[in-house]
Parts: sequence; C-alpha cells; structure tokens
Amino acid sequence: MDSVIVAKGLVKKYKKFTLGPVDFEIPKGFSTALIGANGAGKTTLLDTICGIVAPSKGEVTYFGEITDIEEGETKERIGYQAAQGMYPMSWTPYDVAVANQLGFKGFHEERYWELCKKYGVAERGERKQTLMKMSDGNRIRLRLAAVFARDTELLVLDEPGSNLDPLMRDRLCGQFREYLEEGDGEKTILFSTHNIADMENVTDYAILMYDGAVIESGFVNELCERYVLVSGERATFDKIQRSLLVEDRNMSTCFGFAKAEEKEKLEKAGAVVETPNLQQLSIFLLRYAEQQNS
Amino acid sequence: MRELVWQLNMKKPVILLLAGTFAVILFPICTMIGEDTVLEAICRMIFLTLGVTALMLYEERILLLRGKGPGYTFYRSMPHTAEKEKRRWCVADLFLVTTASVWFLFYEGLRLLVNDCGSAGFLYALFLGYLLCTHLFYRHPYILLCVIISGMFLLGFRPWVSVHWAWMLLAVGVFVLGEVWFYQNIGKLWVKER
Repeated sequence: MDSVIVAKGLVKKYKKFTLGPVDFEIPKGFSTALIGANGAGKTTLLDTICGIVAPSKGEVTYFGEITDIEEGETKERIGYQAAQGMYPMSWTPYDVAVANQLGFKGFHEERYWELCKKYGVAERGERKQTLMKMSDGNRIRLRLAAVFARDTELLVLDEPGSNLDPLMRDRLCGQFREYLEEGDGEKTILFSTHNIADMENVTDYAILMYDGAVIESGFVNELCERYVLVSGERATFDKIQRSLLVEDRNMSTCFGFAKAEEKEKLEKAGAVVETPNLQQLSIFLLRYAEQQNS
Repeated sequence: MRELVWQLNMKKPVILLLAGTFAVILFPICTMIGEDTVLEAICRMIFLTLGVTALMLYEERILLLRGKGPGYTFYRSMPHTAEKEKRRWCVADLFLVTTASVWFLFYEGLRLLVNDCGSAGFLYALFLGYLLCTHLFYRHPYILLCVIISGMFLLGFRPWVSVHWAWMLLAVGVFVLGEVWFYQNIGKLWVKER
C-alpha cells in the first residue's frame, strides 16, 4: 500500500487528554474517514498531522519521504480545514480569499468564487457579510470552498459534514469523488466524523478511534469482513453469549456483534449472521471499546 | 496595494509597527515642544488613540501566538515561510507595542485625562494589576517585561522628564535594536517551541 501519511508512535499530551501513542497509515489515492465519538482525539490527531500543534513524541512521514511538515512546500500540498475557528469571525468571504491568496501559491481565486456561488454561500467579492453573521452551515461551506480552490495533494478536513443540510452533504460527497478522480490516484482525502452514515459512500478506508487510541483501521470492505452482525432469538443468544463482543437484547429479538471467525459457530447455533456496514461496525466497535474501558 | 490594504484591514503587524513606531519616534519630539500648547494636546490625543489601538491589537497578537485566538489555525496551516515570518514579526511587534503602549497610553494618556498625579497614580496601579493578571493568564514573558517597565514608571522613573533628550534617543535606539534582536532570536524560538 502506497501511503501518503505514516505515523509512528505519535503522542500529543494535553493536561487532561493524551492522544496515543498511535500508529497508522493513510493510503494514497483514497478517501479515509477518521471515526470516533466526541472527545476521542480526532481533532487532536488531525491538528498534529497538519502541524497546527507539535507532537509530544513520535514521527509523521508525509508523501513517503518528508518527516518535517515545515520543510519546503509540504504545507502547500496539504489542504487543512478545521472544524471551527479556522478564520477570525470578523472576516468576510473576500478576506478569506485574499488571505488564502497570500498564504498559498496554489490558491485559485476564480475557482473559490465559483465554489462560493455553487454552495450558495456568497457572491463574488462579498465584503459585507462577516463569518460572525453566517450560519454554522455557511461557515463550513465557505471553508470548503477555500480548501477546494487550492491545488493540493492531500485534503485534511475536520468534521466537514457536520451542520450541513442533506443536499449540501450530498454535494460534498460529489466534490470528494471529483477530487479523487481528478487526482487519478495521486490525491487523497482524510476527514473526521462522528457520524459516518452520510459519508459512508465516499469512504474507502477507515480509522476508528476511542479515547486517544486507534482501535481499528483498514479498507472498509476488509474491515467489515473482519466482523459479523448477529441477530436471533433470546434463547439463541443465551447459547452464543460468549462469542459476542457486544449485544443488545430486546423482548423478542436480540442483536450482537462478533468476530468473523465465530461465524460458523454462530450460524450452527441458529443465529442470523450478516456482514455489517461501516456505520454498524463503527457503533459496535466503539461500544466494545467503551465496554473494555469501563 | 491589495496586500497592503488587506493587511491594514486585517490588523496585521504592519499596523502595529506603524502605531508603535510613530509613538516611539514622535513622543520625544512632543515632549520637547513644551507644556500646555494646543499642538502638544493634539499630539497627546494622537498618542492616546495609537496606544489604545496598539494595545487592542497587541492582545489579539498574543492570542494568536499562544494558539488560542480565532484564526490561528489558518495561520498555522500556512506554508512554513509565510507563517514563520509572520510569527516572528508578531513577537517583535509585541516588544515594541508593549513598550509604546506603556509609555504613552498609561502614563501620558491618563495624565491628560485626569491631570492629577494622585488619581493618575491610582489608575496606573490598576493598570499594573490588569497587566499582571494578563501575564498570569497568558504566561507571556513580554507582558512581564511590560509589568516591570510600568512598575519602574510608577516608582518615579520617567526618563522623558528627568533625563536629557539624548538619553531618550538612546532608549529609542535600544528599542529598535531590541525589536530586531527579538525578531532574529526569540521569534525563531517561538516557532520551534510549537
């Protein structure tokens, strides 16, 4: 696997939270979702990767050879968008355009205004409406317009889908596909989310995080095949309880989650076994991690 | 031109440098003009305005440097050179603006407004308290420097009154060199530290 980012023993310590040590790779040419509950360390991880904060320990290798993000044009090649506080609230869409033009060589103002119009966030040269006066959704749209208007090889987006209406989320997924297709295997997306449902169809690779640690990672198909979703009657569940990682019991039907190697055993006991989708997988894995932690 | 307009609009270091430099250079001239003239009053008002503006912007810079202010993520995501330059200038500006603010706003400004040493002294002490709290909050060495300088003034060390103007020029020289030194050294450290 060709990786655009390789992290080894990455640690970021804060007073009340420690990320890592984590090891992971982001495959080149794909869209990777960083999934975790609020407070799992997704933003810290993205901030550390993008040089917003310095790691306490560990090493990150970018584009196969660079170990210092400040080196050369590395930051030029990475398009980072924070979930919030990216730009001062007193800025207008015009200020965002000028700031990006000054900050990045590969920023295309024309493309930025086209995207602003396409996303319905601002008209060309908008200098009156500040970010303060915009809705959360429009602020995200504006940030996305700014990052998609740049020539980048890696997009790192923190919660890009949150606060977006379904139509805009769908448009964002389309933009993701367009970006990856344009790159022809050379462009990569890494985005974080705590609700994968709306972005599942644009996720190729997933990294699941819990409490500052990576609990699972892999290509979605492979990842989903590592586990099985189990359903059945209460009596069946009494028999297979030991094989289950997580279970939910209702009055009539029960649901559970187990490792794929248990499949045969579960089927023999009379349970219905299915391959989970990414959303189901992430919920069960996070619950399992929580269970293990308590 | 567009960049300059934007920089002014965005309150970038350029405006801080202008405010600080004007204040540092013009103040000794003003003190030489003499007391109680209209020109002096106008100059003092200008200094006061500059001082207030500089202080407000200065706080914004601190937030940015400490990685707490709005927009810092954008600055940190910018490529190395642009961002590094910016941060280094920010640190240099802090030094200059801190000094300028203390000198003009909080001694001359209050004297102008209150025109009474007792009340001015009280307000001055309040300001010191405020600075100290800010320092404890941000743990920024330049604010501590500001507190020390202010303390010296409060204790009666007023170089522009008791010291020959040549010493004043020397002081200005020291500040300018100090700014360059901070720009060259401390700015670099700040960048590495984060």
